[in-house]
Amino acid sequence: MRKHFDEELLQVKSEFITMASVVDKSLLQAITALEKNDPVLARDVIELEPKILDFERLIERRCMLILLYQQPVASDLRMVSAIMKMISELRHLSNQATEISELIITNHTKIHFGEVEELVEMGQKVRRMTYDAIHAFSVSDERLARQVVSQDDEVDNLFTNAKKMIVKGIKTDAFKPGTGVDALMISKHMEKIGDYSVAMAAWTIYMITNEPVETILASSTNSNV
Amino acid sequence: MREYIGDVMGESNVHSLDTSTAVHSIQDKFIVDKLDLYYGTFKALKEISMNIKESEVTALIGPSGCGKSTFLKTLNRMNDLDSTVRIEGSVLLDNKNIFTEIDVINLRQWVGMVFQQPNPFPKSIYDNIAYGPRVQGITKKAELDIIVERSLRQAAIWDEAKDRLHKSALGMSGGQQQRLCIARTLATKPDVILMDEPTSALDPISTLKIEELVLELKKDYTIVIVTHNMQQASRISDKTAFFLLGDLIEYNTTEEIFTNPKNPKTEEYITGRFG
Repeated sequence: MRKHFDEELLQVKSEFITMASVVDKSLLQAITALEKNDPVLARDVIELEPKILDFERLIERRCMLILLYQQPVASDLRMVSAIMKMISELRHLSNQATEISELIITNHTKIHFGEVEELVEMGQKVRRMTYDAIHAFSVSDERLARQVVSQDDEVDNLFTNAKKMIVKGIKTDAFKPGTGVDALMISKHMEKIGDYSVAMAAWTIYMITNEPVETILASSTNSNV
Repeated sequence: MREYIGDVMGESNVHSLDTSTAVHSIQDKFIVDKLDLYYGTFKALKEISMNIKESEVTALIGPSGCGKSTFLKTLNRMNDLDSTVRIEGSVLLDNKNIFTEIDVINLRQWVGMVFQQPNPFPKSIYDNIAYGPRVQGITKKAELDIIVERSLRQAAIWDEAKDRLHKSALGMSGGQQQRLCIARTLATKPDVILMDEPTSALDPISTLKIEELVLELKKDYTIVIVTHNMQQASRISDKTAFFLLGDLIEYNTTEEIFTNPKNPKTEEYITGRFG
């Protein structure tokens, strides 16, 4: 009984890591497309989205069946519930990568977002956080997960700086109004990517320690104030 | 009751189960302190210390032979019937030692027991319920009628039994017989109901009815239940105690035990990795 159950847990974990790798790949492509102003790469990101949605449905169903047939408790229950939450964070995260890619495609003849230093910096930062959040889950690394959570405020600060710079750019005509607003939206999408990777890291901490996610997020905010 | 959870549980330190913390609190129905039980030379319970709260359901879990049923039976001195049993340590019920300060007849009136197999007397439904009150000296029919109806209602079996009160209890289904046995226990107005795997011989619907009943009864009674069904323990109990080879390994709120057990042995057992 337990052998079969262990195999099921291993399978759902490995499917989750595969889904996470695809999302990480799409994010990396979106950031690279931004840096290189490459609409073809941006289109690849958009094409990955249905695949990510399929993964989410598959893993969600797998988790539901585990809950139904195995009625997991303790660390097993925490792992299954963490995965169920994290697949939704991953899908939201990939939506943001798609949104960024669409803005690159729309604007690539008008502006090279890769020349906006603040956006590049933010992109690299949130991609690293996403990668770390996924890695922390796959090797159950609480310390790394906490490190991701602690970077939430750094992303918020980067967003605030980017926003100030872009608004200033619009005022001084460094940006055309349309492209300026789109640059602002890209920075907002990146900030949200940071939020989703923080949420994933918090679920990983919950999985390892049983600490409530709200406490993890609150303590991170307090420690950074 | 809930706000007191944790104060005597020592919930931050369930790992070591510090036996010195077994102090009286007004909500404690039982205070068990350093209880050892021997069958001859075999030590079946080892220094068990735990407080069982009033109006709560406490589940005892653990593999076969871990001592949970022995512990349950100790709470109303069912083990007295075995001449090889020797007990050390103390069990207080409402702050009185059940071995030295309470007469065993009174103890079993206050602490009722429901067994794994429904065991109605080969008598009518009415006489099953009236048996205990009659032994207590109640003979007036009007008074007995009230007790029988009240007990059957409390055990959620009145509607099924009211038209056949004078027919044999043995004609009832297993699930009905078990609820009848609960009603029989309730008739003597106990404070505590001990249940030894009360649903293991029942079908899922009857099991559900007993579980619903337990949740209803805990408003008025303290319930201690031995179960092999992990889901049942998590569904109906407020506290769970995990026994292994005569040791109380972990005792905590049921939520903690089933989401975040502190002792690796508990985790192994409840997740099925045991053995």
